[in-house]
Amino acid sequence: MACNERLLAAALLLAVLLPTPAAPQGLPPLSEYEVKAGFLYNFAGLIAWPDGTPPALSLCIVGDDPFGAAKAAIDGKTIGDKSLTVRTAVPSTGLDDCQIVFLASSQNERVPAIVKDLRGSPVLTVGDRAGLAAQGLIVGFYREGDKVRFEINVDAARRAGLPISSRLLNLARIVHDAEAAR
Amino acid sequence: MSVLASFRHAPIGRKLLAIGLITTAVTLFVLSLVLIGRGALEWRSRTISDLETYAAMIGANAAPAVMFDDAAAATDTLSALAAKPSIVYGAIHDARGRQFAVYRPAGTAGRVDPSRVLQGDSFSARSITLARPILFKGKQLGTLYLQSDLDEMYGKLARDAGLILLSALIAFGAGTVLLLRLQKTIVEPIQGLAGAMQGVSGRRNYAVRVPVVSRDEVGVLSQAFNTMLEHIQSRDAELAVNRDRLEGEVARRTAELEQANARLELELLERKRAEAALQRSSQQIDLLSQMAATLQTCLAQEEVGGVVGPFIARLFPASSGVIALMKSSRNMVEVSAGWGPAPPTGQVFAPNDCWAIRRGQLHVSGLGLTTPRCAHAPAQDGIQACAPLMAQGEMLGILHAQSPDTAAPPDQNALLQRVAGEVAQALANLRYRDALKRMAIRDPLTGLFNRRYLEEYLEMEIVRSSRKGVPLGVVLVDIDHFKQFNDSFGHEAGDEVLVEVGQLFMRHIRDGDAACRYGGEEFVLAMWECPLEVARERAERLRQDVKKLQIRIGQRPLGGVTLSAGVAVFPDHGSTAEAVLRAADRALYTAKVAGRDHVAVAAIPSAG
Repeated sequence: MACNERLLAAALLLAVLLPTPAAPQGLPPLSEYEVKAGFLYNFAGLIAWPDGTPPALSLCIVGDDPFGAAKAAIDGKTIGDKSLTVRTAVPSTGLDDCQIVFLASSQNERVPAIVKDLRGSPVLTVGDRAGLAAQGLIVGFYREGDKVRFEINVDAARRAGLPISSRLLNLARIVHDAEAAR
Repeated sequence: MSVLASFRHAPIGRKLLAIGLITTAVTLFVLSLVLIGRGALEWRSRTISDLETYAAMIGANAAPAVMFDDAAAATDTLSALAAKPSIVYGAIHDARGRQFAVYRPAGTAGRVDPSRVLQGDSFSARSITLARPILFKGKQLGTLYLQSDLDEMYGKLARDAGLILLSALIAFGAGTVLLLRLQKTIVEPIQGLAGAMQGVSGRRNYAVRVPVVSRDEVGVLSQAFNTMLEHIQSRDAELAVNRDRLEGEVARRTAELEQANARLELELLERKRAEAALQRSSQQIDLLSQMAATLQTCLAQEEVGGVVGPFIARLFPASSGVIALMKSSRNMVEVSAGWGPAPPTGQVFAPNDCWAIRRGQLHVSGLGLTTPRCAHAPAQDGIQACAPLMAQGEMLGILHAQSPDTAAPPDQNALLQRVAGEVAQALANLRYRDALKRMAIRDPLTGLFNRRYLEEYLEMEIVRSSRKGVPLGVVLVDIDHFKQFNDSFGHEAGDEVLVEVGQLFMRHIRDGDAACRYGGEEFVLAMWECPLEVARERAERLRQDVKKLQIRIGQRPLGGVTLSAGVAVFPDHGSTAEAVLRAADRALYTAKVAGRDHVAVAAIPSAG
């Protein structure tokens, strides 16, 4: 039960399912990964995907899956003319057929290799810790108080050929490649 | 009501001014309302449009902030509304309805319309509020609320109203001046017309004309007024003429009526006259028929005048006249009878003295006539008429009438002729009867009375003689040997003897005596108041005279004729005619026996 209610709340936050704002008050706040799942979904909508991108976007979760049931709220949902499919336990290699790659914390050590692997591929790479964007990932989550925020490496985005909406940029902390990553 | 009433009686100029000003005021008022209302509507739609624009912009910009739960970024986005001072409130609510970000510029706390901020689209006198969904790829992320107050609009509208009021005052003033100027073109002609009308109705001067200064309704009115005046003038003249004509007509009709009355009276008079004439005519017819009936009873022509006189006197009142009869000698006309108040005198006149006899037709003379007056009539005033009495072409006499009345009815002549005709017819009838009678009592051969007459005569004379106590002598005569005459000389000779003897007898008798052929060659002389001796003497003288007769047949003389006579006398020889005649016959027998050519007296019968 409790699990279902939370999922529902996440869906509300994402404004995906419910058309009216007349929602019952006093729902408990969303969990961190429910928020992050929603963010990933929103990223998919704010990226101008290049031509040739399949309509079914693959969100590949690499490493230990931290979302659990939270990912069900976004799996199979449409976003504009695209739809989103969540894939878990994806090996860290051969990720270029994914459109969005979420690197779980367990994969933080492998970030440089994966960045190197996907260099030039139009894949939105997302890390789950501050500073990972500077290592070459395009987006990196971080916490600011109880809020989930994100960094965007505009260099990495340019390398990947994925234009980031300025409105997204307005919300993000803009970072550049660290020296080591260059 | 009283305002309307006083307006109704106000002068036209003031009315026109009031109408113009009221119209202008209403127009300006309506125009102001329209302008202000339109300004308000425009302002509202522009405000709505502005709000829409801002909502679209803010909504698009704020969508990611909502997506990524970034309230600060959303608040930052809302702060762009500061560019529009009239927007006093802005808020973003998330999908769950919770306020996510809010915009409340400083110093606008009193200007927000809090009851309406979250009401969706709403408009009030104070504010315009808009609620717009924040969308991302077709999905609603939240709602954006914007509210604009209308202070700026009211300020602008107040400025506009002031401007309009100013314009209205200017227009009003200009309109007043213009109206005052223009109304004169209407009012002055009307005043002129009204003045002229008052002049016409007051002084009845229909010769007045109104000057026509325009071609509008007033001009038409003036023209029509002038035309009407002309009509009235001509109608007046016509009326006067008609009145005169009517009076003339009345006079003429009255005269005609009087004439008709007079004619009617005349006709009435004529009718009365005709009735009188008819009555008179019927009276005349009655009288005439009575007269004719009376005339039938006349026995002798001498009676006619006396019978007719009274009728004529009634048929011709106030007239007088005579009936004069032609004598059988035809050389003398003798007055037979007369009538009337002054019967003409003069008993006998010559036929030529009467123009009616001469001309054989009615002759009228007298007053005013050129015809000659008859000499037989006495000279007298008035009218005279002679009607000839003619029957079967024979002039029997005249009917003479005269009247002092000159105005005798016109049918008098015809009536007179008719009376004359009746009288003449009666006279003719009597003459005819006389002739018939004569033929019945005479012996046609000798002209002596016949035996029948003798018997009547004797009967009548015996009555008269016995009444008077005088004798009546009777002589019975027989021609001697008359049979021998007939045998010797023929019947012609016998007849000649009878005629000659008869004429001798006629010469011997007196008036009143009767000489009769008693039968064959027997004659009787009856002599009134004649004693026996006288009778015997006369018989003797007769016997002697007969002997002296020289009777001839052609050149041959007949022999001497003798007669025998017997004399008897009434009452000596009998009391009846038969007795006396018988006595005379016996005496004649005695004379015959005594040798003929002898007179014998009857013997006096012995008493008893």
